[in-house]
Amino acid sequence: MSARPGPAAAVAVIGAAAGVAAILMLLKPPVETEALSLQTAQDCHSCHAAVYAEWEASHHAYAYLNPEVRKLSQDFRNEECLACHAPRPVLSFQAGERVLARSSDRGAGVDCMSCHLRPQGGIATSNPRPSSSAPCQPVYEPRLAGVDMCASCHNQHQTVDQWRASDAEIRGDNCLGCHMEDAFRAGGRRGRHHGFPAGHDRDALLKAVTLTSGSDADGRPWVELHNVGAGHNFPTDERSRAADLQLRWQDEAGAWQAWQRLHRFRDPYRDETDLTNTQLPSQQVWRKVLDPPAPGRAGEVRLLYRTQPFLPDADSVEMYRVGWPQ
Amino acid sequence: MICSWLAHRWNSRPRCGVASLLVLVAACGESAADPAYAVINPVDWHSGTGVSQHLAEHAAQLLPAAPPELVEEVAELLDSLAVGGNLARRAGARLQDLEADLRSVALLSLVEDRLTELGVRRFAYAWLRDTGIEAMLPRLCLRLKYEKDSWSAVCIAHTLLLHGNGAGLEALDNLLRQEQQDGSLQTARAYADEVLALLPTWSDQAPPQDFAARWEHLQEVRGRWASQRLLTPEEEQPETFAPRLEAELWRFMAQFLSQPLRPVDDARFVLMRQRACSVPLLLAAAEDPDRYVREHALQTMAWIGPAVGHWCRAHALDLGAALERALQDPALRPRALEALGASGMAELGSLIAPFLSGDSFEERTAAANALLRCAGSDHLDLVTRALEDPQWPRLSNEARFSLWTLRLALQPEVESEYPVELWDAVPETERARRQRWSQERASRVNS
Repeated sequence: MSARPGPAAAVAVIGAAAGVAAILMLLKPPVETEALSLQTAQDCHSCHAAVYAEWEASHHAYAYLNPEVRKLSQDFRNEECLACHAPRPVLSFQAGERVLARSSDRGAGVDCMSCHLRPQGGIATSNPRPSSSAPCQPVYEPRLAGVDMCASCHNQHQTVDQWRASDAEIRGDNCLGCHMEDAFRAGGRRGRHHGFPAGHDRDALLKAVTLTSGSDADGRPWVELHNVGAGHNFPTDERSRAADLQLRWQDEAGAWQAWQRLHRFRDPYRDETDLTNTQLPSQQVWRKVLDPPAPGRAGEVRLLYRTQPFLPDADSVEMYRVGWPQ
Repeated sequence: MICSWLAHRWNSRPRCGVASLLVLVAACGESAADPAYAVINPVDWHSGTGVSQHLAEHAAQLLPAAPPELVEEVAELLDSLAVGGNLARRAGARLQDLEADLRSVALLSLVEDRLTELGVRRFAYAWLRDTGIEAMLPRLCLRLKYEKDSWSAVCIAHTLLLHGNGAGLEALDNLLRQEQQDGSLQTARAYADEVLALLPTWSDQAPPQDFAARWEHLQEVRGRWASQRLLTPEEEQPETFAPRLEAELWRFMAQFLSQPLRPVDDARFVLMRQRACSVPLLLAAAEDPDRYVREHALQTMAWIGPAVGHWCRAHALDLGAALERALQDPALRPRALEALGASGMAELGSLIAPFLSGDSFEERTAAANALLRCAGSDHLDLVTRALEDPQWPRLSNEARFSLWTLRLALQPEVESEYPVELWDAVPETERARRQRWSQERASRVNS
């Protein structure tokens, strides 16, 4: 009587065959194809049109051409500004160390190459299993998703230090959670959005802070600004960034008076010797009880965000407006 | 080796036989290697003398720190000067009695403190002008970057001039160009006019008699300072700095190591505004073991520009040979090419030319920029080939714009214009930068 092979033996045979096949595939010499030689962001466009479009609309793409930056840097005659506004590939520097300026394709600002070009050539990706068939032959680079990647420029004003000191629940694992959210592209592929929403994006600003109001037991109105969502100060980074709370009351006839500044949140320039740093740290609350000109008088507070401190109200972003009586 | 080969295979094959692979990797006794981060660099920089070592060698020459109680006392003495009478006389006498080094560093501390009152600051600048020691010059020079009071800026310019340094002439020029006429500006302008009258003249030149002549003379001296770091045609390029001044310059050079940018900016600001004997110091720093020091030393040389070339000619220094190691390092090569080109020495064109078809995009851009700043008509053929040969290695738009600008400069008789698509592809700021370089070369050729 001959014994029939059982299921266990079949699995063993298949497993062995798979193992042999795998080893044979590994031993077969790879077909060497030369990776594309990529030198400018434009070179990435044909394969990554959607990502390119996201980046092209971002302030990273605008870093060199932005008129405000050009004005502050005297049209980049102050060449020290070039390091972060037209950087060489960040991966050419040690993690977290500052970058240096490049000479080519400066108009592209902080471009694809700034983050993805590897020092030995070729393209870095944060995807741990990159496609082997892509013409640029990407290589997994864990640094790409790390905080130090952004720190090279964005810690010049301590934004990353502020983030490191903030509450773990708010700050998340890295900068990407807020500034490079998931994006789903053609074919359902998941990637990271390359629009880098931050101080120039109203939705991103609204996630950072909340403005609330109420009245205390004596009926006096109060207002609170709470840094609920930013893992760093509000505002942060450039010293030119300012957020102003403005207050106005109605007069006796019910007409609105002019807006008056109630408080400014900002890190001043060094030569502004009469000012101190009033940025609102992560999770902190700024609160003010107000004195209306008469009991029960209607009033309003609004929060304006300015990319530079002298920006007129009309050109600033109104983030919130609260009022009394409620 | 095996592990890295396996890691490569891992990335390039379908994921079957995963378990087998893991077993094999584990058997190697080490994890799959991560991609290397280091810049490929054939030059060993670690043998060079570091900026910290230079600074240590000059430690005995460095200015002492100002004791806080002395700074406070000096502030009170300066405050008393404003009162006048016997109190002011006694305060002046006490200031005179202070040891020169300590007085200078206390005065410097006061002008560097942003909270020092304007009146005290002005007295401090005036005392630095009248009694300051030479080693204070680098720190005083930095005040040109931060001082907003016009009178004080003129006083800094005056003090620097008294020590043979023309870095403050730009501040005089800016002030005298302002049309606004408020009271404090009037005082500063009157002082600036006095300083203009003190500008050095030379043997075949009559001292300027009126404001128009003094203004013209200022422009002439400014031009010489910019291109030679000299104030008169009769001066000779000094060989070295005085040891104490050099020590203070090394102190600034050490700031190139900083990760925050401001100290680096300050150091570049100061070092590029010294007399041209800073060239050997910068060349030494260009061999520093630290990458940032090397980069910023070369960048500072490029910002100094033609005065580097003037110093090299005066001392028969072969700048190309001096930067040979920097040219061998692919990471540093673009900065070395910039420094060579900015020197304005036409003889360096043939050293720079081969890099126009070099290995990297960035290097070719740097070479094109460098050629624009220094190359002569013997490179016209090369420029034409680089622009027209479809087989030429790819050039950035900036590089092409530089070469077009150079071609136009070398062939003024040929009517030609930039291709529209090239003009549009290069940001206005970069076009303007290249126009400035072209004007600089034209002024050199004409002079």
